[in-house]
Amino acid sequence: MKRVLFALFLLGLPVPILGQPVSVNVASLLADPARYDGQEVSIEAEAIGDRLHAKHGTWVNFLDTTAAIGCFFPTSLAKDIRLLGGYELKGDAFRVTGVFHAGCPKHGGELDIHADRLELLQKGRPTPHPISQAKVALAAGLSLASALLGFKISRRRTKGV
Amino acid sequence: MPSARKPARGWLQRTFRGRWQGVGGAKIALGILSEVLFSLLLALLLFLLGSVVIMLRGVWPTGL
Amino acid sequence: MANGPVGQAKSSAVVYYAGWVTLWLGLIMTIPLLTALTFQEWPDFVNFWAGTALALFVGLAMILLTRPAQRELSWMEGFAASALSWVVCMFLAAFPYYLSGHFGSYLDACFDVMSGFTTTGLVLIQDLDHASNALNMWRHLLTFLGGQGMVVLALTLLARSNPGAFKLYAGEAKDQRLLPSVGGTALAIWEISLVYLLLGTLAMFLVGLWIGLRPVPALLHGVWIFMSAWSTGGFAPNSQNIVYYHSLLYEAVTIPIMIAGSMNFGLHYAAWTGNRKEIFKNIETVVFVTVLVLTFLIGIAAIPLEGGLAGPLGVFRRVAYTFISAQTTTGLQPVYAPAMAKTWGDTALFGASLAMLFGASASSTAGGFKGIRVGTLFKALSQELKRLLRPERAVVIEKIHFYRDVVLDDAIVRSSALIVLLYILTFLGGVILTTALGNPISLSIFEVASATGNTGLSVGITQASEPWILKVAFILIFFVARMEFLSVLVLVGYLLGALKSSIFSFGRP
Repeated sequence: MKRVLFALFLLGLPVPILGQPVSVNVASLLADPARYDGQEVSIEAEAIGDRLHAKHGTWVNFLDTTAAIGCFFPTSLAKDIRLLGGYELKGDAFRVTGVFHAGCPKHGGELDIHADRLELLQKGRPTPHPISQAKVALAAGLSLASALLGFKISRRRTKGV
Repeated sequence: MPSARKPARGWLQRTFRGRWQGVGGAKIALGILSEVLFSLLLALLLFLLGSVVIMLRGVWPTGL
Repeated sequence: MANGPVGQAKSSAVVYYAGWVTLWLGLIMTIPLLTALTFQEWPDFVNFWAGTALALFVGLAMILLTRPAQRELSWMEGFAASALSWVVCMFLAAFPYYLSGHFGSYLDACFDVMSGFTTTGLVLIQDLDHASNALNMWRHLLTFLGGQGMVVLALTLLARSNPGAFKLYAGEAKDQRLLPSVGGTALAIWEISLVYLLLGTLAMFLVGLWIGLRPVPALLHGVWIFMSAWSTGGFAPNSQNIVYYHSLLYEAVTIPIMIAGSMNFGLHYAAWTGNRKEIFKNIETVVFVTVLVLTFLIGIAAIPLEGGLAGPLGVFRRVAYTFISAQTTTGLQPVYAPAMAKTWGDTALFGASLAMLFGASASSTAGGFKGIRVGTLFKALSQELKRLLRPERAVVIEKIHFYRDVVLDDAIVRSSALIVLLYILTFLGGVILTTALGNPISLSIFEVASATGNTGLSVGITQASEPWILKVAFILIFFVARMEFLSVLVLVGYLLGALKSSIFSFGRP
């Protein structure tokens, strides 16, 4: 047994130590769901999109640097998530802890995390969207050029060529 | 312009004129309905087939 | 055959008509432009402004430098113009994509455009979850336009000016004539799609509100997911695709949309004009149901259960949905790609690959071999078997029901067999390349089947970090498969011809 554990340790496989959630990134959850099935895991990720209603809870999708995953919350807990990311802003970043399911029996076999703890890592903030002067110049130049061509074509039409 | 004197007609009627001659809204609605019905029946068939096969495989996972 | 005076004049007309389609693309690009304006997404406003201007410029230049055909367009010219339109439009539609900064390279942007136009749905876009509404509008609009056929769109205008316009339309692999005139057929296709657009969007919008989307996102997601499902494209505004919504109802509403989208426009026309029985009798529906049930049975019998399918509902939402999505060649994906690659097992993946290759109906937005060809070939096989078993003198006649009973003849069988053969060769070539680049065989089969069938389900091979050669190969596969080979081959012939004539013209204008 010890040898097995040691081998697992060498392989870098996460051996769940009592009470300690496995810290993972989302991509590894998606890539090998069976390995983490039923374990308590924690991810560090940004809340994105919308809060989605479900029976007895709320869904919020979380995106880390690798991929996104759906997390199921008790609705009261989901209220702590204030800013959800999108085009305008980067959402609140949390450490989300909960039980991972490869095929969740409550949610039609979905691959999800039933979260029970949230730890705010960084508050969400608006994403700056500066306008590039060069692009404006490019767009204006192209518009002018196509207007010229349009003018030329209309003259060809009237001349009946 | 003759159209100026005619009463204004909806764009829907105008575009459908000729191509859908004699096809009323009810007929189209029934057509759409039967297409949707067909898809739902097919989905139901797959649901039943799936359930039966999984049961035949002798494994009945937890859940619904 | 074409009997233009010189090669120059012939290619001139080809470029002229492609120019008009390009012009249309520029006009269509004002929709995302207005979206950016509405939501005050200024950087994307500038991107789409530049994109619109560039498309108009190129379109106008193509028209200005060439002349329309003075006679009826030949089949060759129609096909070449169709294929050329797609290539030019790919490069132009990719321009605002590239400017948006969501793509690693111009090639990646072209990949996503071609994937959209051909209603495939494989994507290389990065950071999709932070993309603007304008960009998402463009993505889904591309797939919607591509599904109906961009040339079909332009035809409503062109058909009046040239009686040979049907040849452009057929070049896009939509050879079903619903009505005597091409313009009428093109319009009828758009009308059918627009009626479904209204109904489908309304349904998705209401369900969206129900599951908790705010009204504006509910509407946008509704339009986008409708466009994606109807055109059997498979895009979605978020990286998790259809899983993002976590809702059985949301998924369920997409099912009739996908299936209706994969039906022949001729079938819609028949059903809407009162011939509703045709839905259950048509050879394409029969093939569709048969292939779907058989491949699904392969999948469900073979899929490993340890992953936890969680009961009949789980089986339905993960496996049945995936097979419907595969067979309609949509590509909305209810399972995360890497998880699918890891847990589905080779046989189930192969079953889904078969569904994607067979595909749905001809003259629809779907891809694959298409029902009419598969039906024809199986009827031919049964005819051959009967011939062997019966006395030598007996005459065996097989009929297929395709709007009316058609007697199977060798010409139909031959053309079906040739196209299916071309699909298979394309598929095999793709698999060889994909495995040669180090991917496992079963995953390669799945991903290439997805590309060949213009489906868009993925097991994760398609990603921004893949080698450029695979991206180029996939773009070509999407394109030839969508155009059903002929028009692309004709275009290549044309380009070679034009090259030859310019070499031999010794500097003549």
